[in-house]
Amino acid sequence: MRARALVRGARASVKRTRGAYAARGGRIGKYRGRSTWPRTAGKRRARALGSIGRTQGARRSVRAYAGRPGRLYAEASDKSAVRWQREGVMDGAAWRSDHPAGTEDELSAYMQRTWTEKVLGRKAALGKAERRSLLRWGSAYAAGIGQGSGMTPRCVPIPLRGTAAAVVYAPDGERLPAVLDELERLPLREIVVVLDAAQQPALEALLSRPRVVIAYARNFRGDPHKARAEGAKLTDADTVLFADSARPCSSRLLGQLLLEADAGAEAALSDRTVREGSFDRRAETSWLREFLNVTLGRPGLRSNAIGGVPFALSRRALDAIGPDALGTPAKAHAAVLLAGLEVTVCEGVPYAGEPEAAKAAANAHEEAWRYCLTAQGDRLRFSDAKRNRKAIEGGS
Amino acid sequence: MKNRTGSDRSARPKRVRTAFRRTPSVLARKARKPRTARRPSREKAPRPVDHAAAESVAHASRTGAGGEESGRKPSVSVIIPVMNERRTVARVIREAQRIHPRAEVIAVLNGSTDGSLAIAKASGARVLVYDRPLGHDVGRAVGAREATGDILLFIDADMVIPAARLREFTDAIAAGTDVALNDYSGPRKRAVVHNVILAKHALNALLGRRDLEGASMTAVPHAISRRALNAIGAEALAVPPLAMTKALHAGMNVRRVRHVDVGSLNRIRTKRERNGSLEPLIVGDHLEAIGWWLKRCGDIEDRAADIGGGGT
Repeated sequence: MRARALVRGARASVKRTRGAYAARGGRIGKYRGRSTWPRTAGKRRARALGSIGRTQGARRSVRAYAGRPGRLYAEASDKSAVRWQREGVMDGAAWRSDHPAGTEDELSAYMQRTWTEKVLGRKAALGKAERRSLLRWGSAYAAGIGQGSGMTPRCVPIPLRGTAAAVVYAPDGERLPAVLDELERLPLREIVVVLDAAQQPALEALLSRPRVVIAYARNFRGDPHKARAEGAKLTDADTVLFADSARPCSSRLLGQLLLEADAGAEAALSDRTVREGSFDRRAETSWLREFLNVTLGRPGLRSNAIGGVPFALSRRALDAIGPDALGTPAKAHAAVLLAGLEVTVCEGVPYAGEPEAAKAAANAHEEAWRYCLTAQGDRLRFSDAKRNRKAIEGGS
Repeated sequence: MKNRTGSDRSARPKRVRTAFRRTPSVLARKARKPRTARRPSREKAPRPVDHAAAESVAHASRTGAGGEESGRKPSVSVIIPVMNERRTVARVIREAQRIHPRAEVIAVLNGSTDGSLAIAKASGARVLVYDRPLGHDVGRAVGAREATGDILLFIDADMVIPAARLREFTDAIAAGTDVALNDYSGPRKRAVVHNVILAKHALNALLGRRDLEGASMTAVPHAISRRALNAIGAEALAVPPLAMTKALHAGMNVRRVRHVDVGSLNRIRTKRERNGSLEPLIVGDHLEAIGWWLKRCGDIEDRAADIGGGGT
């Protein structure tokens, strides 16, 4: 009752605010002076675009559902999720009746398969916004499968067209189990764990995980980029996800990278700019990355670049630059951009790697510009047609 | 994703009053003499200028220093590229002449059609004339080639900076600095900055001089020593980032000297911004400088590995 009263109070205050705003002459144009605003524009637009997602009115506040136990969480967010959850309940119950002795792993494989068929079968290409919603709907579908089958599937359903693998560099084994737990929730064919040759982690624990492939990289002198390059050679999956063991990243965020790379981007990057702050406080490595993007005609990428874990590369990108190029990430990034491959940034996925050494980053960027300037000339596409250089030829 | 700002000027440009227009104090107003007596320069007959030289490049009538000092070698050469700046050129030249008793003021007129030439000649500067525009920064290189002073100061004709401020740059050179830069990094307390600001910071960081922040020879005023000019060559001044890179490579003493907010002093040039901003030119200049640096650090041909073939 109290929750209901709170809700009513909140709505009343919203209405009062809107009224006051309208009275002051807010909302120019045809909405000037109106106390209520039309709510159907989003619905019409969604219909016109043929969206498979939410087509109903505005999202309600979380508080409106705070005092109603028993409601499914998905119901609070959108109706598409509710629909997917119901479909999951039916599919889960059907699977259970067909497989009375089925295991959780079998259920996960079944869920991944059906989810991929349902999503990709309904629409050939999904927009970026729809791909982001897919993770939420997938969670709702997984919850439904769990309810219907009476078991809890551990994986996050992600509709992928091709195969996927992950490469993890693990300088120490402390956080590795947590990282692997998250990765195992994704539809990955294999997880390549690159260890230092001198390292002796708990091998039994690693070997108990069926999808883990252990690799001992030599001659990389603790350089995480070179270690990942070695790991990338060991897989031939269509999409390769690079994730570090320094900071565990949730499977939903990693799944977003996989989705983007699978949907056509040759490189899907995490977003470093979220935590970087204003320009004058950023590290010089960040300035170099951003200027490299500007000189290669991609200022929109800001300071994001290949090498900042987590990131995902398509097989096409790996074949174009060669896995060894990942050892010098700035050069690999430049090569991908020069080759005209599609690079995208997943804004909701934060950078989860260690801070870079300034000297090493400067050297890597020197390599990158050396490669670009050799390939495309001294000024790339920024020609100098305005100066009369003949006026000063012959110098002092 | 936030969009890039279109300009590197701050949101609210401050107008700095110049010494020339400063309102006199109360005491000064009381003791004010008649206007004609207070500003003799306006009424004085124009100094003799070799008009024939206006048609050629090598006009060399030096009139910046008068009296007994005129026979000696100038201590400071002030180089001012001018292109249609009749509104400010006289005041800029006057401030330049006040920097030092033996200042040589070189005005490089290029493509001026608005009467700036007559004003520059009348102001007593040494005038080099080009019929057509030389392009950005080339005027500085031409002026530096003709300069004879031990200290070279570079300013623009469209912003009037008081002589006292300019003197700080020449004093720094006299005290041992080779390249004295304007301590101006542009508006950068924001997430997304203008690409010109980004380029300056990135080049300084790449050259191992993060301490210079966004200071660059792209911005005026800046001064260089004769030693620095000999090391980098006058022609390099046409591409300021290249000149700075050459100076650092030659081991010159480069430092920030004084903050002059050229962002607010600069006239807003709507037409230029509309027809083609200088941003691509300046980004290209920085690339040219990086390319030169890389060639000096290691043979560009030898060290560039075939990225597709693997190995770095």
